[in-house]
Amino acid sequence: MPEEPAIPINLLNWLLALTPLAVLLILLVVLRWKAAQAGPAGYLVAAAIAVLFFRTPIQTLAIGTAKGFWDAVFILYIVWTALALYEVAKGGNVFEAFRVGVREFTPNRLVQFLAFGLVFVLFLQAAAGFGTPIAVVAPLLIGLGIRPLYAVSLALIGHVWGNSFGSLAISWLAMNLVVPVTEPTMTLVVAGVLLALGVLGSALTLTLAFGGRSALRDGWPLILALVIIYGLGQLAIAPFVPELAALVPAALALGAIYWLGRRPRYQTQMAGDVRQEILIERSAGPEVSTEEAERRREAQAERLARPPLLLGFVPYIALVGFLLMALALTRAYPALESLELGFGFPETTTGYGVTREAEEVYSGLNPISHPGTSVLLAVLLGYAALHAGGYIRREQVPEILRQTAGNALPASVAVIGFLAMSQTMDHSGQIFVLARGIAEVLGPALYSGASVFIGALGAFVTSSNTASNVLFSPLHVQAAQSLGINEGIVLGGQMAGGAYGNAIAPANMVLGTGTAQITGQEGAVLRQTLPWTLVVSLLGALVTIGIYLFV
Amino acid sequence: MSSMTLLWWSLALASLGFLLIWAGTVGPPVLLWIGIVIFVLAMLVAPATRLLEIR
Repeated sequence: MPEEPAIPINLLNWLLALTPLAVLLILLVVLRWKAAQAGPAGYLVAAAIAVLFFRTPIQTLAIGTAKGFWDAVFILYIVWTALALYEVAKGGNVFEAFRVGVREFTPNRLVQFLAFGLVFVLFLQAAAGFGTPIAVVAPLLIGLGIRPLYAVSLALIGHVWGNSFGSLAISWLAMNLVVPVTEPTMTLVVAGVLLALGVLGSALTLTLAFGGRSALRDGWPLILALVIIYGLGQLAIAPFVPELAALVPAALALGAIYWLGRRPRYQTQMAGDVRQEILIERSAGPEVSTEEAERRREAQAERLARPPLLLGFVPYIALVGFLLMALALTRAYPALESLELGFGFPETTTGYGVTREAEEVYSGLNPISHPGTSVLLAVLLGYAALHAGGYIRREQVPEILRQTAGNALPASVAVIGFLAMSQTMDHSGQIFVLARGIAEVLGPALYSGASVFIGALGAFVTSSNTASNVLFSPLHVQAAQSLGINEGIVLGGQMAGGAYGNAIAPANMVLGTGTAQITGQEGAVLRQTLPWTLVVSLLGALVTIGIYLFV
Repeated sequence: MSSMTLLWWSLALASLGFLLIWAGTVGPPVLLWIGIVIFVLAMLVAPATRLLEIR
């Protein structure tokens, strides 16, 4: 165990440590800067505070920065390939095929919406993670007629449940690497309960946002079934096989929505109307009615060749197939896990004794198990299938590449800024001060609840449930021991908070705004997902406090 | 100069900065210093696109 850093935990240092995050929030939400402008600005503030107030040598700043850049490469492999997937699908008129095809599956627009916005997004989160579901599903929701801003916000809210146990429970495994989890069952059960609360919040929010109370009355059997499958399914599986606690319920939910969508109840139009605010048609102007806008769009779509539904699905079926193949390969042949690309970095320290150990290969990128490879292969196979069917031409390739680069460039600069800021704050001890400050002023009951907010804060800073767990689990264990709290309660709160915080994770937002073609509107997305995250975190904190009081 | 050009510069400089920092950890430490200066420059370029928008 490394020695405790000697940074004075006082209000001034705490406020200084909070400054980069506050600046980032103000730039994005209040001043409406684009993520590509706010992310680098946040990094510069964090770097200045590190050097001026946290006794951070330039070498430590540089190495922290470089690690942040490499973390960004990890994410950007998905950004670039997911944007290419979107451009290929758009070039092949695939989204029009989906829109028509899903209407033939069921005329009920709520079922259509939840099939993508809750079920498919969670399947991708369970199988892939790392932001893939946001990048893939946002354009699919737009294909259903949802406004891009809402498509991104609702995909972010919809994908929360799958974060802690998605990607074969990498967040849980990472927690076990950094601390000895002495109460694994309690940790997993608390996380499972809080994530069930999260998926209930996601399902209700999506339904109410889509069609208000009438949609809730119409859709409650479907919503109840999905929440039980996700919430109770994960809770039941997590204590025994955490690695499959997201994937199995997510696969069951895919089957459930297909079966339920075929029932007579959902083979009729949805009761009530879709809220006009979230539909693209509204932006056509008040003088154009929904029916007129729909008619115009159909007339326009008829003029373009539309692939058959199954062909349109080829890139996505291929994506799921490649993801599952990669999971199976690395499980069957553990030696493949050692095929990692990465850079080694020496130990770092600061004048306050904040040390980070040397690493031979920092955060190695495995080209087989990384979801970016699956997305890349899906792009190539999807293009080949659409090209063979005559729905996309070779002459479109330069435009596809140009559009991909045009959207990926701002996203890349933003993600580099966010993650360099995160590592700078970590290596200089700013994150330690933030979390320790919270721990020192709260008693055991409040700290139990605060563990959820700390987890969410970590996900906001790092855009990752896994990184949040790595950052804060040691602090929770120390705090639990000194405050006399069962460690499982705060570690469970941390895990679930890390999942909730993914709805406001800047890298995820950038992925969504990129594929939704609204790059630069990250602040508007944050204004929608931040209140949701705060409310769900507060409810989660109250549940965690309840568990502390009654266990 | 357009915002996109500035962002390409930002990305290129950040990548160069990263490589120099890493090179500085295994080779001459001066590369590490040059690398962090270039990276900070890259992070200054991106917010500068705000000025173009305001103009």
